[in-house]
Amino acid sequence: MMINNKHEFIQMIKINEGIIFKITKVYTNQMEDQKDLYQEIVFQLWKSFESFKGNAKRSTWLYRIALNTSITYLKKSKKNRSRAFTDFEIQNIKEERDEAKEERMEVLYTHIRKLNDIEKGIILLYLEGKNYEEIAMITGFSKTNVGTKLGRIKERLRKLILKV
Amino acid sequence: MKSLWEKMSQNLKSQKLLTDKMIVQMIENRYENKFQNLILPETIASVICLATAIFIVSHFEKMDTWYLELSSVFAVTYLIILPIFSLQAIYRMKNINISKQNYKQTLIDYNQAKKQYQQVIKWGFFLNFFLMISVLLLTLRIFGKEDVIVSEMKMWLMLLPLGILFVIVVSKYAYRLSKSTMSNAEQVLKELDK
Repeated sequence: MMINNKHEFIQMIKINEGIIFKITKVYTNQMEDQKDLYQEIVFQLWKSFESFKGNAKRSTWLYRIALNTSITYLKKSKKNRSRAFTDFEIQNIKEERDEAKEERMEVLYTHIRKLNDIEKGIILLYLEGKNYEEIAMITGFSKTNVGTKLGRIKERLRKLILKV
Repeated sequence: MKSLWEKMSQNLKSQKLLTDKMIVQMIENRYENKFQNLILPETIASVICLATAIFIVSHFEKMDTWYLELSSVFAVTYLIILPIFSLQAIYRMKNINISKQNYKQTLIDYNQAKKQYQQVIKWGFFLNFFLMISVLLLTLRIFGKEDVIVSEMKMWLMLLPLGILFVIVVSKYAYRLSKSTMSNAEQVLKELDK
C-alpha cells in the first residue's frame, strides 16, 4: 500500500483512538482481551482502508468495522495474545482523573457489558452522540426500530444502575 | 449517563498515547488470521476422518454380519458429515464481510454460524461413544478376528456398562457447555426479529 496512504491511516487512527478504546472496553472484560481487540480493530480498519471510497462518512465506516470486529472477536488463549506489541499498554489510558467520576464510569461500563450484542452496539452509538438516522445507517436497523430498542435499553440500564 | 460519557470522551481526546510506531506494528505484524487457531486443527482432524472413512470403505467386503455392516455405514457417515458441518460453520464465521456488512447482518451471520458450530460439537459429544464402538469392532474385524462379538464376549460385557456411564457423563458435560453459548446465540437471533 502507498506510503502516503499509510500516513493518512495513522493520522486517522490517532484522531479516533479514544473511540476505539471505548468500543473495546464495552466488548471485553479483561484488559488483555481489550488490548487484543484494539489491535484487531486497527488491523481490520487497515485491511479495508484502501477500499474505503468515501461513499459513506468516515465515522460511519469506522464504527461499522469496529463494531463488526467486536462481535466476531474470538478470545484467544493467554499464550496467543499480542506477544508482538509489548509497548502498547492500554492501562496507561485513563478515562477520568477524578476518582469518583472514574468509579461512576466503571459502573456504567459494567452495566453496558451486561447487555447483549444488539443492545451494546445501539447504546454505544447513542452515547457517542449519534442520532437515530446515523445509528440506523451503521447498524442496519430501521429508525423506528432503533428508537424502540433504545427506549428499552435505557430503561434496562436505569433499573440496573438503581439496583446498585 | 450521556453527560458522564461525553466528559469521559473529552478526557480521552486529550490523551494521545498511540505513536506512529505502535500503529505500524499493529498493521504489519498482525498477519495471522484469528480463525487460524480453529481452522488448522479442524482441517487436520477432517483429513484424519476422511482417511479413516476411505480405509473402512475399502474393507467393506470383509464385513460379513449385519452389525459390522451397520457399524461401517455409521462410522463412514459420521466421519464424513460431521467434519463437513464443522468446517462449514467455521468458514461461515471467517467469511463474514466485516467492512461491507452492517451490524445487524453481521450479528445474524455470526450467531447462525456459532449456533451451527455448537450443534456440531454437541452431536459430536453424543455420537463419539458409538463411533468408538464401531471403529473398535471394525478394526478387530479388518485385522483378522472372525466374529468379534462372540469371541470377545467378556470384553463387551465389561465395555458396555463403562461406555454407557461414559456417554451419560460426557453428554451432561456437553449439554451444559453448549447450552449457554447456544442460548445466547438463539436469544440474539430471536431479538433481531422483534
